[in-house]
Amino acid sequence: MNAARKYIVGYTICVAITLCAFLLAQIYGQTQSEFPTREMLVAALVGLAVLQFIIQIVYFLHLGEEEKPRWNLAAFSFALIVVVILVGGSLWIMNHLEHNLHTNMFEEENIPPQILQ
Amino acid sequence: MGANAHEKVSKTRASAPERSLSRGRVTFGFWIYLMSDCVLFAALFATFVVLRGATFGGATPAELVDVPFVFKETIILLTSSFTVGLALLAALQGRKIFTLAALTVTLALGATFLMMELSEFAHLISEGNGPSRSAFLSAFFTLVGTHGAHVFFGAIWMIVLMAHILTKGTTEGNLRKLTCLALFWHFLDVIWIFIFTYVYLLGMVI
Repeated sequence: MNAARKYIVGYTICVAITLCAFLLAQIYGQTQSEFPTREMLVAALVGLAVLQFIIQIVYFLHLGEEEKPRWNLAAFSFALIVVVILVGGSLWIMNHLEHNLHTNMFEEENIPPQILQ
Repeated sequence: MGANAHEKVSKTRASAPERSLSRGRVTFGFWIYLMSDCVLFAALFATFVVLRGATFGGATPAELVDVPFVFKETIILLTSSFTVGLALLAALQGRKIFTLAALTVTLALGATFLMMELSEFAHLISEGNGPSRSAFLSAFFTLVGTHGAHVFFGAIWMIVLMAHILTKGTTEGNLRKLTCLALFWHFLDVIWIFIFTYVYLLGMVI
């Protein structure tokens, strides 16, 4: 595929994906979560985000066009692993903390008054 | 090394876009920077994910979402990501005027995006929902603000590079700089995908 066409195709797909995501959210808000149910909307939005992420990485950042050895891809994969561990790990640990404390330490009523003063 | 020979070929024939889009050592170094910037954003995302429930009586994630407004922001940034790609392609073909025009459009779109973001921030602060209101709002302003700061510095870089291209034309050095800038700008739009999905759209659901 020639380079200019690749940008145009990538851009068109991304606009379509973005449109879908916002339309779904808009419909969800208007129908009071009747048609796309909460679970459906979350799954759809996450799926669309991952899809757009892949499209942009391939069509705009041109990952996968380099010749072997693919150092760009290696650095990218490592960054991806770090990101997953960082975000997933934080969420996992903090949820367990909350579960074990039986309280959300960030809520106003759970903070000792002497700290608030 | 094969890569060196390859670079020499593309130096003499900068008119073949497919060939010149392959990256040299400088762009690889810049790629490594982008990947570590990814980790910075991951840390801010992790903070936001953990603190999103800590609203402390202030604005909740759902109250921040204005779907049409964020949609406009998203399309503007996505379009600017597209035009910076066009600028790079034009520069690789040595078309100076088209390059500068595409960069001007990119810059205008980037500035519009920044203005919209700043007006959103100003609106929140005027309603008493500034970054000091709650842990959630601190995390929100830090995450979205850091992205905005990247866009701001990218715009300054773009102005400087436009001056370089205006005076020296699409030289080898300018092409290298523009390749890095285009990568940076595309990267910012990739980060924005996750911000608009997680912070804004999913903010009204979970």
